[in-house]
Amino acid sequence: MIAKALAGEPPLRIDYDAVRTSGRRRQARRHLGIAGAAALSVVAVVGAAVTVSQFGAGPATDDPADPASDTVVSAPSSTAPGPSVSCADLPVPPGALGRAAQAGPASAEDELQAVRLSEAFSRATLPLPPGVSAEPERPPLCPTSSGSWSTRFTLRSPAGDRGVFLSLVRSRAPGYRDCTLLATAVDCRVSTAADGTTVRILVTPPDRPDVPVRVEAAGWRPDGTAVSVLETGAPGDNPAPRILDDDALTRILTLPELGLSRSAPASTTTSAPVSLPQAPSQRMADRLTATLTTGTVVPSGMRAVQVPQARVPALAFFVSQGGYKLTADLVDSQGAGNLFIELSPPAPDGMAPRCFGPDCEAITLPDGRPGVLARTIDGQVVTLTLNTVSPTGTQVSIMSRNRSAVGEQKSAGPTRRTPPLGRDELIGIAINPGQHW
Amino acid sequence: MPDRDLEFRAYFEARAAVLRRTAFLLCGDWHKAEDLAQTALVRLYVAWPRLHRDGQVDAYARKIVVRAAIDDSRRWFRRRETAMGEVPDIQAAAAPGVDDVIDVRRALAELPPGQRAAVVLRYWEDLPVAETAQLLGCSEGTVKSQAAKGLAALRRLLAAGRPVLREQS
Repeated sequence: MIAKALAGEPPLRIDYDAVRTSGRRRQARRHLGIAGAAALSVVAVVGAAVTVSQFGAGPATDDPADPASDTVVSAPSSTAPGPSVSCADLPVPPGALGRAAQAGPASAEDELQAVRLSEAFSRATLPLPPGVSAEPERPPLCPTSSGSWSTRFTLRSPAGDRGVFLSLVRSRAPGYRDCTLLATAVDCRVSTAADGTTVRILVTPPDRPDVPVRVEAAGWRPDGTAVSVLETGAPGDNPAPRILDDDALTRILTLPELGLSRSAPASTTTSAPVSLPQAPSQRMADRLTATLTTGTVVPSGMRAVQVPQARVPALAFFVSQGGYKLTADLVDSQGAGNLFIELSPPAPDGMAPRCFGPDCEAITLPDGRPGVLARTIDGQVVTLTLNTVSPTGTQVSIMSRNRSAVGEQKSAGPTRRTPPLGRDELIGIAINPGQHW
Repeated sequence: MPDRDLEFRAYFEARAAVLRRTAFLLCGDWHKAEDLAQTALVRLYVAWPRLHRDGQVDAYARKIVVRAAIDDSRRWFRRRETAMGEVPDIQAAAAPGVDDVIDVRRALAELPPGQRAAVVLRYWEDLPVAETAQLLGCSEGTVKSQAAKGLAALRRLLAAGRPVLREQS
């Protein structure tokens, strides 16, 4: 029942690099804070001395690295094609609090597409009202790890600054393109542009004077590109009003320069349409259990033992977190180890499993599907994991560990020398054709 | 790439979407869910060595998301954040009925934050009562009653809107 609420899950846009960068900054701030507390009095003295020494001096020279100077000096205008800043240097516009940064690890094809899009977009004319300018003037379209391209810029107007976030993704028809799922407080309208693009514009009016109005426009274009534009602002005593009207938003959504090239192959993150399976049910769990044969899962000489966490007999699937899980201890004369199988709904971005870490191998299963086989060692606990995706998109993860799950303590050591199932046995389970729903 | 980054990246790939789903069930907005999940992941990165060593990664991430979602949903201006303006790319034919989706989302949104969290943690995350209580900072008895009340309210809300769902729930 609860899983139904997840229908229409959009592609994941959390960017790994952005998370890591933010994490490092946070860590650095924490370290600085510790050091700073100890040195606070020294800093105060030095700061006072500097203030006194600069008193009466002329204005400081412009430091290009000083972000404050960026806000005063606008980017020089140029007729040369190409973006005026790099993805790494893309400034954060107002209203960007908490949103993911754009750049991320992308496939070579997506990088090429980004170069082409950025050059094209730099030649496009943004339909800005008189007196309004964009900064940076020609922002780049940056590829993300989830197979989309995005950028952001600030609209400067006499009434205040607003932030614009623009992203492109290959559209997978038909999708929800109406206003059905929206809260009643949101003003939503759908129209068809002259070029056939379906345009949906949502306006979330502020319910407090210090909250900026939020405008979101989505366009599903005939060329297969889905474009979204979010215009928002920073909260404050007098937040800037909306700048782009419906017509301007529609013109941005239909800019020919924003079409994703069909010549460039779609990366693995966007090629397959995502379809939601039925909500998990115990009946389906029983059917999945029936597809497992003891001979396939439990090698000769081993026996399967129920673990308390499963709340079901050994080698039986149970419903969990919108998918199905199976956990059992496999026991032989060497001791007990754990087998864990997880079947999850298709990834929202259709992402295929990828390899990370030194002890990871991208493999091809006997039935032709790609898989990733990883081995991790934590102390003496060895875990073998095989991740793959079923033909229907179900994410399959099979794990074998040399530590029993019975009475499992996170800090406990191994309960046998090696994981109970090796590479071949994991592959044998992975190619079970019934392992999806 | 350092080991820490490799391990964290593997975790990120495996769990970011799951974290976002849990956050969405708690807050009902994909944008906000993404922000909550991202915040949790950033904090995880900072505390990764300790959490990874203690095997507490999932619990810590869940705690951040749940507490942030509850705090946020208690703010009076939360309605501002209920817009769903994503560019959705899900095949409509394969998705559950739109009416069902709306019903479940609305019903979840109707629950008080505490009940919603208890329902999501118990029946979506499959957490035991004790762990749910620890995460929510309340007693096990409170979790049981909150979850029971929440589930009953969900059923009542859904049944009131769509009689057909009574059987499914």
